[in-house]
Amino acid sequence: MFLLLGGGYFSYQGLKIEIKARVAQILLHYAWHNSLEKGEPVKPWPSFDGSPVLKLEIPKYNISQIVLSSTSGQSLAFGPGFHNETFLPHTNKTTAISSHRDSHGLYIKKLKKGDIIKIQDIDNTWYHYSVDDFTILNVNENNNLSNINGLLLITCYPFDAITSGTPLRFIVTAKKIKL
Amino acid sequence: MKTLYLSICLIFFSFPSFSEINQPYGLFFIQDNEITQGHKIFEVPTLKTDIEVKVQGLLTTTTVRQYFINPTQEHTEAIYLFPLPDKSLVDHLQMKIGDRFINGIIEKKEEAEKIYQEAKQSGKKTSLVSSSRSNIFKTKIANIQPGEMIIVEIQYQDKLSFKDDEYSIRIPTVINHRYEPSKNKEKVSKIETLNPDLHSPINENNSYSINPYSINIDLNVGFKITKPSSNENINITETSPTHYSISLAEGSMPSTKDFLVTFQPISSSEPYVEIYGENVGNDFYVYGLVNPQIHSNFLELSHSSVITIIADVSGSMSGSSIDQLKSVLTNFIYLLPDTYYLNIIAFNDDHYKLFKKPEIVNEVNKHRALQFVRNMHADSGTEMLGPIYEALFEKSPLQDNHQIILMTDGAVSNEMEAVAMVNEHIGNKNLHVVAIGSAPNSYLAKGLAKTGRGSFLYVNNDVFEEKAEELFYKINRPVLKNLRVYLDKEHLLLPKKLPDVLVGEPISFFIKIPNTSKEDLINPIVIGGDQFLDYWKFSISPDEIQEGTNINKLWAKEKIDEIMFHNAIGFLDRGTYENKVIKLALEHNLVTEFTSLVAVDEEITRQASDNLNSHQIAHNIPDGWVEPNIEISNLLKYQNASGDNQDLIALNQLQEIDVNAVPSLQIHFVQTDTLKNLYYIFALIFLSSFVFLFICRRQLH
Repeated sequence: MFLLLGGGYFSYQGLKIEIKARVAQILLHYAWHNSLEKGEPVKPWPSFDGSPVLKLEIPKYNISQIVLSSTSGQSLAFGPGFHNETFLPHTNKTTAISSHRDSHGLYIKKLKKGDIIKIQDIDNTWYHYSVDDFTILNVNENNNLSNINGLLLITCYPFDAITSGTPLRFIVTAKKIKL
Repeated sequence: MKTLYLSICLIFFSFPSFSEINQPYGLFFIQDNEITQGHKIFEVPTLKTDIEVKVQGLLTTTTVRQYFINPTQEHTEAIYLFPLPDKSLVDHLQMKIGDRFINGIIEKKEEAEKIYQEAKQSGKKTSLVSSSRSNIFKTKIANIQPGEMIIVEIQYQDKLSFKDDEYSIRIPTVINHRYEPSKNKEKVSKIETLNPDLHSPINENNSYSINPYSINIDLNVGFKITKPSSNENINITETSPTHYSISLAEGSMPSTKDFLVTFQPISSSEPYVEIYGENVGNDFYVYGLVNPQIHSNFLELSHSSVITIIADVSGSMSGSSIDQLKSVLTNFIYLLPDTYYLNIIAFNDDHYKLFKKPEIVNEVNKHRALQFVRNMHADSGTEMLGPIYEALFEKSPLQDNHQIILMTDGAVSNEMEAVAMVNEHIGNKNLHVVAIGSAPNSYLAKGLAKTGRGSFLYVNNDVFEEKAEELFYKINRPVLKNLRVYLDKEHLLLPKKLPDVLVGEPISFFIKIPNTSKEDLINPIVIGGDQFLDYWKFSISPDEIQEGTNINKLWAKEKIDEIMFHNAIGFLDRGTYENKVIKLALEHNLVTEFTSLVAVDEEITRQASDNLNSHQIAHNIPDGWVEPNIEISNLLKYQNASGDNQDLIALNQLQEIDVNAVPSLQIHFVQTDTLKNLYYIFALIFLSSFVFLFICRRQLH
């Protein structure tokens, strides 16, 4: 009986993370649609703490995700998070986005140099980026990155670790391109 | 949604501090490139920089004067960039270019623009200085002759920085590159993009001949301090234990590293009070400082106190923030004596109270409180108004001494309404704010604490026992409460209600006495308040008041800060706000969001027939300008150069700089992995062993 309960508990915890990540994105896509129409961020559900800021698309891998306005634990459970200390795409400065390596950021390990990433902002403008470089960085040693007119996609490394808490980050650098 | 946008703007407005700016500053030549329509920017060699800092109480007035020279063969246009400390205000700018004086006059922005345009069309030289969005001060100067000297003088008002019981004044030295009059062009490297290492304000080159600094500080803080120390050799003259003069022992220092002066307050059994006054126009301005440099041994803990804690348990707190909050809170509860009353209100999009009203902290209640904290989970949205309302209107078991502590990461909605509500209903309660986490929105958190006449504490990965103790003793061992100013003349006090004086938190205030001069004052100015079980009084007769300078400007700066805050929380509409700021800025000569300095060329421009040595021609000196005392030897090289054009260099031999380059980016990395895989593995192990056992038992039966 104990085993059944234990098994049930862990499946529940695991599935909770998975379901949260998937269902939230569906609701967020809906909220994003409304946000674009209104021109200002709309909450996906009333008790949600945050707002959608960008939409990220990678046609090659069939990725379409709504990026949230912060990188708090809750935001990241629901979608990729925009780093508030960086800049939105229209500023021509660096935009940094973090995602969980085992849910929204699963695609990151598949990215190849030259892949096209599309970002849409709340003013319905699309920006295009081309994957340029990959780096692995230890956050305890260095958290300074050079400023570029582009996009940084950040996730935890190694990709298939079982436990959490790694100090390593995998960073994809993509440069802004004009189509 | 409006509030959300406003809060975002405010975050972007939190400027980097002086020393953090890693951007080139000083004077730069602009070379227009007609072919590409772009322009190149070159650094102008700095000959010398003089800095004077006048400290009155906690306020500083800094005058920076920089000397540059045009070592090139060309008539050039230049741009002057200067980084200003966070929240400082510029009130003076003057330039001398060859024989021309350029004087900064404060005008309304549109007015300034009009004057600039008119002057430009009539062929006069002028320049427009405005406070740009970032706190880099910027002005353009046109038509600089080959070999000509440029002097820029700028003055701004700021505050002393105080951290870990230590006051400090930091003066970053300007970036500077050696100007090598070598004719070998290959030696001069061009830099396409900005290299942050190379362009940091610190010049690794230890040649003493480049850009020497002279620094003079008049340190009149008004409370007893330890002898100031510095990273450089300094001469210190002690006028009194509260007043020192500091200058560089060698007269000047090279621009190789930042100059830093630090000093500590000396504790005493009584709070220090210092009053500075100045007659400006028809009015008398007073700046006062109450500094509680009291050793905690002299302070008694309040016998009884009511404490209501408002804890943010919304989704944005999830992760390490909620753990930090719980640790501090648990430690805090352990510290409470059994004569105290406690209540806790946890909130996300709803709120939950520990008790109906604050209850005495006995063993049972303490246990219940700790249980309540243990059960906190961070989830859902943030509705802060309800819990603040509850706390403000909570029936207090004591007459006074009700402390409200808000613990939050600042990612809240309705901040403006919250500040407005606290302002309206705080009464004689105090609201303290504990900001938690890596990026608390501190403008509003500080604003809330200020409005609630409380203190602001910041927690991020500290020792939680220490933080809890700091908070507990600070708010329950007040140095002075219910402070009031007594004055027999009609006067305006800023802030309107003085905050309580807590350990390590000096308070400043201003008094404007309209249509009065210092000589008209007969009776003393009295400040009174409650000390522990006692009445405290400080009295100063008019002739004992120290002579201050720029007190009116410092007052106006504080007033503008107040107006800005009132606008931010919606007490003032945009129009009224703008009018009020403009009125103050024009009266007291300050660069603000709505006012600019227009620089007007006072001297008639040099005739074309004049030769380039005409610096020595006598000229009219405008009011307020002190003719700089520059060492001619420094200039000689360039003076000679100007006589013999052969020695002047081509513009592109100077260091080229990308002024728009942004220094490196700092990212607050977050954990982006979950225990999902681990959960699945455990689930798999448990379930498979269950199935295995189930089958085994079946077969046994």
